[in-house]
Amino acid sequence: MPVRKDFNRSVAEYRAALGLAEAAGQLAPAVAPELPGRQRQLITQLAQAATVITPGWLGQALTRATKDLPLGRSEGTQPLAVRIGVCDVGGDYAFPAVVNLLGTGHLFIDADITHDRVLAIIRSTVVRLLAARGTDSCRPLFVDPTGGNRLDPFTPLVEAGLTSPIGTDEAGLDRALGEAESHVEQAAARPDPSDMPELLLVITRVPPTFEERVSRLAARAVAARLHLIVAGWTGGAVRQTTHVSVDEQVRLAGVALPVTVDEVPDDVVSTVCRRLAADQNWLIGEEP
Amino acid sequence: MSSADYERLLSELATELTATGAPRGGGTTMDPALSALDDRLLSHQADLLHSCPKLGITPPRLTATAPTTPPPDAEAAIRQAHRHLDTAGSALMQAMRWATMPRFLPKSRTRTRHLAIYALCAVVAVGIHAMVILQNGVMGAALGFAIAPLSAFAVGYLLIGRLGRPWIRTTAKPMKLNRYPKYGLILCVSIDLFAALAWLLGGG
Repeated sequence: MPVRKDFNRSVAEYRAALGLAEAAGQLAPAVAPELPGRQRQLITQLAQAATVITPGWLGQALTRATKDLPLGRSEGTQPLAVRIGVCDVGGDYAFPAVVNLLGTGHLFIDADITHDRVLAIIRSTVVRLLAARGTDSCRPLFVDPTGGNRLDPFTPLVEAGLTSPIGTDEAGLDRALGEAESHVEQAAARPDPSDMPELLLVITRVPPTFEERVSRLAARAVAARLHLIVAGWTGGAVRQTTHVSVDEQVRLAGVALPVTVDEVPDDVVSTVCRRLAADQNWLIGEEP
Repeated sequence: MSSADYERLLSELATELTATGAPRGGGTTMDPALSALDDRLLSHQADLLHSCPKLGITPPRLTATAPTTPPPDAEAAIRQAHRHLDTAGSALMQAMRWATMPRFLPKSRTRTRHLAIYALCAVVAVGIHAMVILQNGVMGAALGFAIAPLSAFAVGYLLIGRLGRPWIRTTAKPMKLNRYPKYGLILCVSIDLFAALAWLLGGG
């Protein structure tokens, strides 16, 4: 049938044109977005500030080349901010997305660790902080109630006794919160808790029944040298906390710009943890 | 610069973005050309979809097909896309032109087409009649000499109503169709007679 034949030919040509139009859209060189002067200035200043406050492990890209960098030993009382990714506005406008954590606050994420980008944020944040601070003045504590093996690369820390076994259920979460609460009580009993080691509590999902307890703990935590990295948080705003939302895009502290999170390879995490473990063994007199 | 400065700047940026809106990003240097191409694509898509009910065709999937050879740059891709759209446009026009012509022998004259339909029907009727004769003998199928041309004529007459009309009407008025019944009947009977004669001469 000539009608159908010509009609089908027209459809095929249209589809080919559509494919080429899509290819053209991808190949066309992008132009920088139009930014008001004040926004340009703020982005530049943010990039400068981030470079200053996240030196070394705290701000460098975490690649296989990074894992051999010397581990840091910052003062236990010095506040540490940590980079979680890059806020890319387009063109030449980008600045590191930084979260103030040790010494100043907490990090709460509204999606749980089953999201790849949340997993990347948690891994990179913990690795950066431990590598910069050292485990002698900062003790991590992990709870993964999702029951997965996503925190397995941190196992060398458990094996070296630098942290308790990773909690994998609600009972583990209850134990970890109990330990954190006792840390806060101990700090409250001291006139100056600054000589206490910091406790970094990482929770990968918060069941609704624990939300109030976590919220209460977070409110008293910073003064007691306890810092929380919490994923799967749906309990609303918490004081002294940087909130990160993860849906189609990752957004930092309500800023309407997308953040590209830092990926961290598994072997970088486990290598850093092994080095921290070896370092600790050396400190207590064993063979490194 | 301290972490407090960073927090202050971040909060200022959030306020700025709330006041003036997020930056308009994602633009390209080829936006006018891409936009013109998009307009043509949309227009052709609409033409295709509008022509489907007229032609009695199920609307096709209009998804993109990846280019067989990746274009070297955006400009070349846009040029190729326009060429494809040109061809698509002319193919659709051709389809619509075919659709305004009768479905059978669209380029021939009306009388030729209609007589060809009668002739085809007569040949088929002769073929069926021959098979009946082979099974039952001449005497058993004698009535067929009358039935075959008449049924061929009747079927041809009806078929002209379908094959002699175009897919789509160009006017709202009902189309008057000259079916040439006299010539059709003569043709059907003649073909039947010629076939019988040929069979007799052939020693049947």
